[in-house]
Amino acid sequence: MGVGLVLILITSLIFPGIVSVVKAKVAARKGPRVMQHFYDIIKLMKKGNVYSRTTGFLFQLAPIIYFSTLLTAVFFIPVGNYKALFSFEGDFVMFAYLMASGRFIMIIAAMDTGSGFEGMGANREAFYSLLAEPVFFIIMGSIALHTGHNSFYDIFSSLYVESALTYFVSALSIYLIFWLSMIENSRLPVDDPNTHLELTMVHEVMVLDHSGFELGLIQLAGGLKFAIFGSLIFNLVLPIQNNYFVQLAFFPIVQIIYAVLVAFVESFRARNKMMRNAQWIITLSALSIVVFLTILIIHEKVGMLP
Amino acid sequence: MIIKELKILRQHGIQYVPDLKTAVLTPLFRGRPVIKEDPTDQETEKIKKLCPSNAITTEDGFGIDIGKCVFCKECALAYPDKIAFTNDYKIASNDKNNLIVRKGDSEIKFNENIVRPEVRKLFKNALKLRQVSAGGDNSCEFELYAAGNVNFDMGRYGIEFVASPRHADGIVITGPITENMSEALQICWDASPGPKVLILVGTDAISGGMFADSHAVNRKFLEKYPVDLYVPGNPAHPLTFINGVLRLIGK
Amino acid sequence: MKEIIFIIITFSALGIFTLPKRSQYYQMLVTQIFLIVVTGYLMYLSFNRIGPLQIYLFELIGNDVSLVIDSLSAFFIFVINITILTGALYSKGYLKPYLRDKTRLEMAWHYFNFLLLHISMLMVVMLREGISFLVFWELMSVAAFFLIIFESDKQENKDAGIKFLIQMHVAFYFIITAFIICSIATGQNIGFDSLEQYFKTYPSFPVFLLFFIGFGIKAGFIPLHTWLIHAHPAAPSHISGIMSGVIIKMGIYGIVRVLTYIHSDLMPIGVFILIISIISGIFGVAIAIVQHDYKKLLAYHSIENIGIIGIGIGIGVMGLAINNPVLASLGFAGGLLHVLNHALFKSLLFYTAGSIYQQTHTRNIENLGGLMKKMPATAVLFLLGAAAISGLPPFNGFISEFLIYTGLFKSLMVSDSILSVTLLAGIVALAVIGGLAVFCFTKIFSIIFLGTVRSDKTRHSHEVRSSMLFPKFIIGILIIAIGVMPFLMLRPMAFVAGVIVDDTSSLRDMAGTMSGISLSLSLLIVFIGILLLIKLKLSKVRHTDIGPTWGCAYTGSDPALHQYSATSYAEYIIMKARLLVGVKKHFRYLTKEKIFPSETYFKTESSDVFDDNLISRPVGGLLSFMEKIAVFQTGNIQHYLLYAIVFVIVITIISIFGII
Repeated sequence: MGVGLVLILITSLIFPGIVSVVKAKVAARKGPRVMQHFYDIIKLMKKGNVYSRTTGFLFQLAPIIYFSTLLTAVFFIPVGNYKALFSFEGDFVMFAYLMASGRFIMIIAAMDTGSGFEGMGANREAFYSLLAEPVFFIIMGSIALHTGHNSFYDIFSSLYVESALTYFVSALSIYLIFWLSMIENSRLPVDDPNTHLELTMVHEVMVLDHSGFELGLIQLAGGLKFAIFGSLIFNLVLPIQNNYFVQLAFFPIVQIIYAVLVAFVESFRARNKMMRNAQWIITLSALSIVVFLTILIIHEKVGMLP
Repeated sequence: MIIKELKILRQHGIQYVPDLKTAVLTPLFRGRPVIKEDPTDQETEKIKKLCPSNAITTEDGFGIDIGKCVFCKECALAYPDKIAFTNDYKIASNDKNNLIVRKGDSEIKFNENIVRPEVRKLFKNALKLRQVSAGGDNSCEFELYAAGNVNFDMGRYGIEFVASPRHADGIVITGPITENMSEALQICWDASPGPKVLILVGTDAISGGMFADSHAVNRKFLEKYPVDLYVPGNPAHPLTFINGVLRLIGK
Repeated sequence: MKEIIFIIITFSALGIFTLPKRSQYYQMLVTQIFLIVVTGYLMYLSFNRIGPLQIYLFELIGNDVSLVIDSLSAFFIFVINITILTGALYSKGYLKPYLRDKTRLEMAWHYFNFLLLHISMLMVVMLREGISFLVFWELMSVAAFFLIIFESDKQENKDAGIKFLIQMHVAFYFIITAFIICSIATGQNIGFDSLEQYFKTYPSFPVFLLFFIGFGIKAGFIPLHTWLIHAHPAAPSHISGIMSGVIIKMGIYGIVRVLTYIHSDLMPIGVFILIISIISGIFGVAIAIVQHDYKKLLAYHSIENIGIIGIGIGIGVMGLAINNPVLASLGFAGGLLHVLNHALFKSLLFYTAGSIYQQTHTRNIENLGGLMKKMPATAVLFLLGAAAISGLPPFNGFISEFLIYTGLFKSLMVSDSILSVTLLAGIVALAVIGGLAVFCFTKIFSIIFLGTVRSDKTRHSHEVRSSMLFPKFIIGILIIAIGVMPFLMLRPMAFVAGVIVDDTSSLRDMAGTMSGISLSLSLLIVFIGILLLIKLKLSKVRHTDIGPTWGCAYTGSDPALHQYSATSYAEYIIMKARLLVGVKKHFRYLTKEKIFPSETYFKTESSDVFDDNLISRPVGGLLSFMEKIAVFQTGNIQHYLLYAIVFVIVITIISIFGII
């Protein structure tokens, strides 16, 4: 259990660094160092704060709650054969709602500043996460149906045991979870973390007023979110081996490939037109329904009529 | 789609300057001036009349204050055996006195003694700056933007410009600080959390440049806070800026 | 013994009229506490028995009328008592400003009706015999009517009350018709007992539909909800809280009670309930997002939560249909636990809304803002209610939704294709409802409490007195307790679900899951605590400044004008769900007449599409038709005599020619 936790935590510190390095290399820059994200956070922890007169204690409390919900969510995810600390039936529901709690309090904090910037970001963040929720649930529902189990560890343990058709389903699921992670972390094509034009900001603008310790926590949380999704993808990719060393070696490889893919999407893909974002996210939901229907067909081995 | 772009990438080859500290600029670049011979008093009077921004000082002997110099090179063109401009771009300093070039000076010195200890402690590996354009001609803003491009890429040291002063560790001022921008500058300074640095880039910011006597300029802000780095140049070269900041944070 | 209790209650209730204004409240409170103690004891007795507890009361038209209390009734007694108690405690502070303006009789009548509401609701869940049940049901509606029109000086409140009364009677008509059909068909007396016989021998769905419409109007399922959205804003806040908390749950009680007797036709019934509930849930919360009146918004949220309860009950019935005790027990347990949870957090929200109204005298959120600084305790309690209603851990809303989710996911694995698709639709609906609820409550909390002041209305606000805060704290503690220690509710819910489902072992098997939830939430709280400590230590060492919000140092105008307004926040939903929420924008275009444009305005208003099409248009059409007929009512007695003579002549002619 502890090994999985340590792996995820280490990934969360290095992942954004790998993304920046690959993005820089693709753009022919020298690029920052891989540990740059970590150095940024250390520096932020040492800085002081400036608080807005309009905000209250909720604003200072929110990043703490946000980071804590994410950290608790980490304890739900198994890594390969290493069981998570909390593993019970329906734990993925709790996992999804814990992350929703974190988002809720960050939106509240953003509105606390009373500025048009943050209001805009909060509004869009609430809307896009609303549209993206069903994707996760449909995918988990599909693979729960497929494996006949109800908790993360049981599902992932028995995923590849049955048939080769599973690979098709899990490939599509990985694709969807990849895009879901891009939405959750406010990356392209939904949002561009580098641009600060009002027309296009979602998550970056929500944290415009945080400073010091709170900003450090928020940046840590960003890396942690990527690590969480990376572990989910790792679980889907890896057919369960009983060999711990194979898993230990395979985990960093999967994370690096994931980071490289994120960097490639960031470099080569333009941002969606803002009005089209909702449509694009709903397309993901539609694709996840395809996954569900495929699993239904696999199990029934007939058409839709009973 | 991606393949084509990767091919283009390969064709371009390496774009970035490998080592920012040892790069060599073209000899045409107007960097640090050298005074080979002190001019006579008569020549000094003529040079003073030539200089558009009062950069010539005669206290303690003849000297060119590159904090006021606009690098027009008129003095060097008039008296080439006395004054010449080299292509040395490392002309940033944290001490305003060190910006005065006298006979025999071979470099602009950086004063390690007056660097604030918290700057060294906190910002060695990451420095985020907020740029305030206080009413100049935008040339320094272009050069600062270039400091972050593919060519110079100061991001490799963890230095970058951020959008919100709350996220920033320091304010970079360009332009002579006009009356209309003075309040905004103060708000921006107050909005960034301490400890923070103050950097002045460009002749306009350091001394007011050619606008120093104008009634539209209000430089009271600079009297309140200690300046951590002066980056001369008109406009300042990205390498000057980057090397100055690197010396400030101790790299 | 029973007679003594009855006499005490009657005299105590009537005694309210004899007391001066100040003491009337205490008389009511004491009577209510007495009632709570008595029914609490009955509740306790019923939990430790095999069959339901039966107490014979009296004889009515040849039938025995007894109190029959099984676990379901006991559970509802608990919900009623908690909500009425906190409502009564809250009303002391809330009604204080009204004591000056209202007469002694008006206040006494209000307190008397409050007591009558409490008594009639308790009797409704304890009686099975038809006539007495219907009498107390009617008393409940009448008492609620008088409570709603407490502020009767405003015409809109009286209109809302009358709409409520009329729709309650339409519901009553459906219920009594269904009872009569059962009674006549089986030859037994009117009452729930005849249902048992009826549903064994006849198809269940038609009569169930009659019962569903009747009880559903009370509960507030869409499209039967139109009284709710007018009555909740019109009523004083403690009554709104009680209405949302328990009165609409009486409809749910009725539906579940009827379901205990049905054993055939279960699948269509289950699917029907599920579909209506999904529609209610999604539509309710979508329309709530665009409201500007926070009490109307909370009313629409009640509709949404009735939808969630209905989803739980619907899948419970589907579980019974396919003989899947896991689905059945989890669905019913989740739905009924949500009854309790909703009563708790919705009443909390309405009470805090009442505090806001008392301080600012406006219900329009576009006029509020920045109240967090002035009313911190109220704000935190509202935030607690908002997080609970969005179903977020660590609060109680999450637990009931989790039970329903678990039921859905567990049954997904053992169902065939059509059922799987239906179950998935339920899962997606719950996820979407949760997301929309987060959207709506971040909006409402932010616009009311956060940011800067939007208008003058909040100038004189301050924190409300502690008598109004105390009951909200109690509810808050209960919300957190159920949220963090859900295993406390497992055994009671197993008993309650056991009334309908035979095998509730799957609920007891959830003990491991529930402790997992508790452990993870404890870990969450530990993390928050550690980080808070670090932050406190750091804040002593680090430099902290206060300044204005960063707005790019724009010095041109007042920052309060730039913050998001309610309509802007809801803009995305308005765009996507235009047909549904019916938002109309009124504005005047800027013209190019002068150098600087003249003043113009922009207004949005929303109307309920069901209210418009189902109620307002037909009623409007009927009224205009009536107005045309009213031509005949001239007021002139000669005309009426003429009508009478014409009628007699016509009848004579017709009967002469033998047509009749």
